[in-house]
Amino acid sequence: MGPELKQVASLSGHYERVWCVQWNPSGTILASTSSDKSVRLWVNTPDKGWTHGDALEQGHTRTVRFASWSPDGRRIASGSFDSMICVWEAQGEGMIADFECVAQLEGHENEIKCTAWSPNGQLLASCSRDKSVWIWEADEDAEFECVGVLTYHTQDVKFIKWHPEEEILGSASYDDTVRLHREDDDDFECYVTLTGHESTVWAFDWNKDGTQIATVSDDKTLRIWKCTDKRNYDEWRCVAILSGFFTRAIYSVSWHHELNLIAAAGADDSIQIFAYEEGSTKITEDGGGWYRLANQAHAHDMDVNGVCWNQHVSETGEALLASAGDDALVKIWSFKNP
Amino acid sequence: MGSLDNANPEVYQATVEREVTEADYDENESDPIDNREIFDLLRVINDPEHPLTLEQLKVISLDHVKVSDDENAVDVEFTPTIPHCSMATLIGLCIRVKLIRTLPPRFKVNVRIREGTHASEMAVNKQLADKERVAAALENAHLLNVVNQCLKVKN
Repeated sequence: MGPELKQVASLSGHYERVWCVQWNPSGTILASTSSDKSVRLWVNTPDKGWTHGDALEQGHTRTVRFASWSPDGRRIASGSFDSMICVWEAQGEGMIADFECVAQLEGHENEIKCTAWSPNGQLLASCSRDKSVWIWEADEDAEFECVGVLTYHTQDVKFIKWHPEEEILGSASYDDTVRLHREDDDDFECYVTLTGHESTVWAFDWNKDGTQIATVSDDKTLRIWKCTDKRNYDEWRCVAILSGFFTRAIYSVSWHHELNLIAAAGADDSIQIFAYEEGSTKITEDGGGWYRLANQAHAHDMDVNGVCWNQHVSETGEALLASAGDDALVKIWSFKNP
Repeated sequence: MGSLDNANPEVYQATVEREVTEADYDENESDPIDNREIFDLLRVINDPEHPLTLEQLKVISLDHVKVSDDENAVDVEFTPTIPHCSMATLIGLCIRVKLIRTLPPRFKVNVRIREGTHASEMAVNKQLADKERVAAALENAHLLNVVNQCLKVKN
């Protein structure tokens, strides 16, 4: 028997499909978003274990597709099918602070799919079915100004995430590509396009130092891309194609930075964990050193839309993974690094 | 309303009702969902353009409906009446919605245009398979109303 995911909590509270789960930077609060138009916060309390904190319900009029935490953990940017972004800010200092909507950003023509804060928290990016990526500059008074509209993708932009250290923004699209953008002469421009996936790229994640990217797609593969020119992050190539593990579209991927483990999940209801071992005999032909460490079949009763590692590792080497399902549940799993 | 995409479609005879047997009333008899049952759900869907059902237009046929109760999978292929039918996405959406609303949630549903029967087959299939686009479409009150009209069973 290999290592397994152990279910720690199955959290009900949302009354429709859950799309996204995201841990705050310190790993103490989990945010989830749902078709029930709300963002919910979940916390681990000494007496009740994992339970719901705040529900942020008054911001959106349609599905909340995604929520991302600012690097200081004080703000949440939620993006909705109502084409709006709500920025929620913590009021007070408690562990379960109240979050209040302090700004609503309009501009996208239709459904917002994802939001992302830059590593220093000064820039917020958003993307939409309108094929564009917007970059907003944030100041301390929660005033947001659009400083760039990137229109390189030819179809819906499904997912965006900033490089962990640099101001490089990655975006994944229905047009089957991933693009990397960075500032050149005051304007953000696309400077790298990763092609190879044969259908929609639903999501991706960076490794700890941002020299690798894991992408997941409707083509049922997980691919690893490696930067071969670390100084400039200019040259990228696909070093691994993990196929045959998922039987339907893969919707979400999360890279555990300390443990160097990749969790992915999708429409076949499973959550799977992949690990890297140089020169391992477990390596598959195109796996480039990556192999499957664990497979949690039927992790949810329906599609799994989101997974997110808690980057904190316990003294005993355990890490927590959160998942979001079409069954309206948020689940928390523990995984022990072998 | 503008001119119809296909003003004079062929109209085909509808199948007879499924025969009810003794076993259908037996609570102890296991009764897996079969192709005919899926077909019966879909054949009564109304065409968005004509006062006819998808069965009468041969958009849906029993041969192109496959269900595996054990594997929780349903595969439906539909045939637009003409290769440039602009209603193909809407018809596919109606089929998907009908199945999602009727079948137990354990089922995974694939809805596709039958190969070689539509000019934009790939694009329409990709759209129908994208759960995010489908979810967003169904939050659009106007579109939802159109879908519900197509799904209304006429006596």
